[in-house]
Amino acid sequence: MLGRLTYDSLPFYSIIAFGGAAITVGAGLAVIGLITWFRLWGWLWKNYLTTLDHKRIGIMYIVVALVMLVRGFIDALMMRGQQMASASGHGFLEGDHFQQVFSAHGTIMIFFMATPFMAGLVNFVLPLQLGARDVAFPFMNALSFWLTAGAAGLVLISLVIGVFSTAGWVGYPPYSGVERNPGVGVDYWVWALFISGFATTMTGINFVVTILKHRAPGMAYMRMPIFVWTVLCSSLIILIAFPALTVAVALLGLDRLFLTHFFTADHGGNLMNFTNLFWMWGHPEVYLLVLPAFGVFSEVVATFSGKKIYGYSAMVKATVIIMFVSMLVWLHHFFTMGASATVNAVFGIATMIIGVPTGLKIFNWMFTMYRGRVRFHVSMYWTLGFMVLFVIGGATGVMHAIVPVDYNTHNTAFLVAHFHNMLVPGVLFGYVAGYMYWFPKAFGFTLNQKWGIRAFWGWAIGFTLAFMPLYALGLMGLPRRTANIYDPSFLPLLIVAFIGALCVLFGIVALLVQLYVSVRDRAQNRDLTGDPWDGRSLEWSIPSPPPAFNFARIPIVDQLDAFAEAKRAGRKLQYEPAGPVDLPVPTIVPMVMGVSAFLLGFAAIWYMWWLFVLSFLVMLGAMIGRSFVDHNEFRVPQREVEAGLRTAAGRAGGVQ
Amino acid sequence: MREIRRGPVVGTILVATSGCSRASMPMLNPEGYVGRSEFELLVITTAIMALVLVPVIIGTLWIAWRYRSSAGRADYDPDFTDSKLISGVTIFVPLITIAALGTMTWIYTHRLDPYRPLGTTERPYEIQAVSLDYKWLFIYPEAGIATVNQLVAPSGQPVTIRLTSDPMMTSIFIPGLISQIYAMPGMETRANFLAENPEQRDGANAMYSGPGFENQRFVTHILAPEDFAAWTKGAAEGKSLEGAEAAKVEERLDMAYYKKLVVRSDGDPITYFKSVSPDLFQDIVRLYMPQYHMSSLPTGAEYMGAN
Ligand SMILES: [Cu+2]
Repeated sequence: MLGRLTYDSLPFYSIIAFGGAAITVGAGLAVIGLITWFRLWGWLWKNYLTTLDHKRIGIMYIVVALVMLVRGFIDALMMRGQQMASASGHGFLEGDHFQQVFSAHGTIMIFFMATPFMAGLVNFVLPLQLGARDVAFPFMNALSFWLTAGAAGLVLISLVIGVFSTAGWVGYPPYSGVERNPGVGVDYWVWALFISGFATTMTGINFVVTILKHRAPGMAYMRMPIFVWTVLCSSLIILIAFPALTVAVALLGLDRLFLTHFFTADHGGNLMNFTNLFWMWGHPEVYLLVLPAFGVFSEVVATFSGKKIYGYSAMVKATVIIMFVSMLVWLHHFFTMGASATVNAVFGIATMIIGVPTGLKIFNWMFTMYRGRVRFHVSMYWTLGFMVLFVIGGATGVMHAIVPVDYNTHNTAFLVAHFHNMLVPGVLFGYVAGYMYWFPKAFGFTLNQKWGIRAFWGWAIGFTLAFMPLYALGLMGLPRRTANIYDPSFLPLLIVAFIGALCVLFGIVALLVQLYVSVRDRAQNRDLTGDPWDGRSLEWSIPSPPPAFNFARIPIVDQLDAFAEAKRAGRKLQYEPAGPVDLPVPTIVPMVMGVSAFLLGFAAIWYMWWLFVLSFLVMLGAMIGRSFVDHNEFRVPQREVEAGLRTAAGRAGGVQ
Repeated sequence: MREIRRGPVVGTILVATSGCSRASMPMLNPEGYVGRSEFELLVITTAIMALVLVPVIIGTLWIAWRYRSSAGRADYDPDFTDSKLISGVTIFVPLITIAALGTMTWIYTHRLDPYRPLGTTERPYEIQAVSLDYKWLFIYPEAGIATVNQLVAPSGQPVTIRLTSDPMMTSIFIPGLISQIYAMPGMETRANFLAENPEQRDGANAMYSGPGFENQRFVTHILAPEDFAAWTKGAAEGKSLEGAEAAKVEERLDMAYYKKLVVRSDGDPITYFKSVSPDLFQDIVRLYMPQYHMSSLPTGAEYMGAN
């Protein structure tokens, strides 16, 4: 009945494991309790759990990302603490706990923090910037979200029931094979990635079609905001790269479950193929995360410099070049696997070539500020912090691309420092800048600037202190993933790194305080105009928060930054005539499918085959049932749309 | 000359580190052709990158400050989005940097190909390394001996290490001496080096292969040729290396003993085998890849000719 799930799978074997489980369960119960206390279930059900509105799905994505950010960061803090403590001989993580922690940290931060954060921001912003009323496939959009949430749930539950993988976030065989790791840990990892892989692929399809088919009239490709361009390229990368990952983990799952030999060392299997497939996804993944962040920075810099972006067409070309080249460099993750010098050199040089368009972008952001009027909104802090710190990571990235340098730094703390230097200032700073930039659009009031700036300094200083020592430790020969530091001379730098992690902790707490303070003081910080930053793209032409149908009348675009240009010329945007709007009917089906996917994965991990079959049938039934629903849209009559228009005009001072 | 090269690195990127002794910064105190060239490359590229980075960082902050809105500068121009001069610079600076670094990559990658034996006509000295859970086995086929967790090699002579693993994927790492390269089950990979002077260096498995991988470490002893010859003779009689930890001595390493050795263990002592069955390395690879045949090692000249 319960497969291989027994009493021993519960975390009563160690205090730290039990503490982690208690926090997870306790936090979950607390959230449920609070929702019940404030009688929010009905509101939540109607507005979020069953919604197909892209804006609310975007918000839910970001909530998931922030929750997972906290979880992943606790892992990071434990790792820094363990390495520091063990250097002085008193490590506190026992058994394979450290290994579980770094595996969970990487998996969570990439798949369940960065990716959902990106999906959330894009979901919210993209249709608004395009002048669209929703994404192309609202139902599939909700399904993507709920599958992601289900997969994230699997990672979270692994803390309570059973263990997580110890194979790192990359899960290389033969270590992740069933012979070496027969337990549930790797299976948790496999199923979480498999499910979220499907979800992200569908998200990519949705974004591409939305951009191709749902632009406002007149918005030619070269009139799209840079953010939209970066999303387009990022989504195309998703379509090409994610199937490689989904296939790789599926084949690994077959090796584990049915003892096939895709990635075993013997019986004709080839473990190098997993490495290949994984990085065919893994490198592009970095770019599909960072491109939208570049898009956010472009929007933020242009808006707060009061200028058009410098070199728009060069920016677009740079983005497209990055998209193509990013898919041709994956071999740099295994220069040390023994390929010929020519193969290694070609991939090394291809990797460096990405530095050209990226460098160009940095210069273009600089010259967007040049002769502008730079306002130091908190999003500008994140942007400037990004520009200063990211170039250091770019430089060490180019160093890694020089094959013989990589021979020395590969697998060391230097590498860890490098990719955190890309992902923290590059990706996370971008998303946080976007979160603070678009927050008033989503909720109708601005975020507290003071706490935002404090959060920035916590992150920027914390990042520097935490990762610059790792560069040095790498050069001192410290292999990554070392649980017990064997050389006491590493201790001083590890202490610095730990202090850095504490500063980041302050940054995270400041983000939460900012949210709390802003909600508390929302009455003073209302955004009544819909355009608090003197923005440039279409999302600022509608009220904050936007009505369910986004645009009462669809704007007509006649140039790049049409809204900003209209404001400057003192005229109004042109609009199509108002009419009735069809909106998707809320539905419970995506949530049912997400929960079923969670149960399906859980059943497969624990060999509860009855539950596996049952949840599969529920998913299948839900999908078939859904396809028989004819009336999945409801019509907002023209009267109501126009009423929305009038109140919007009243509130927004005639913006629309 | 070496002292001068070390200067900027110590000064710029590693201020915070506690000195720069050989033990704490092996990569910055390289030995032999491979280690030295790789170090040289590290310094040159760091310098080139710094040349671009520093102006960009300063420029970014300077422009942001200079054009802050509260300064109310008169040259505000919201339509300034294109300038031939600036666009030229912004494309050429990255392009030239990358072109320079790309050229260096091409040259150095070929020069430092880990498969290329050093020296030209001299046949390299062969050592076979097997990465086990969590220990290193080194076989010296010419001397017919084997060691666990201790690598001893001659100086002044090219050395080739043939690598394989059983059963995990790992990576051999002797910072400052050889290029890191993966050891994989059922496959043979190679690393080459030529150390000029006798010395001692730490080696490790740099690639996570399970809890305990960080204990898969060994000490590398480079000995002068005559000392090395004496050591191999002594080891065949069970004599430990002078000045190093005393080794546990075993008689013969054959497949039967290997089956015991391969069992996962942690923190194994340095062990010497007085004799080894001749084709053990090949047999270990064949456990996974029955078709495997060991080919003879090329000299530097032969390798370059074949390439
Ligand atoms: Cu990469």
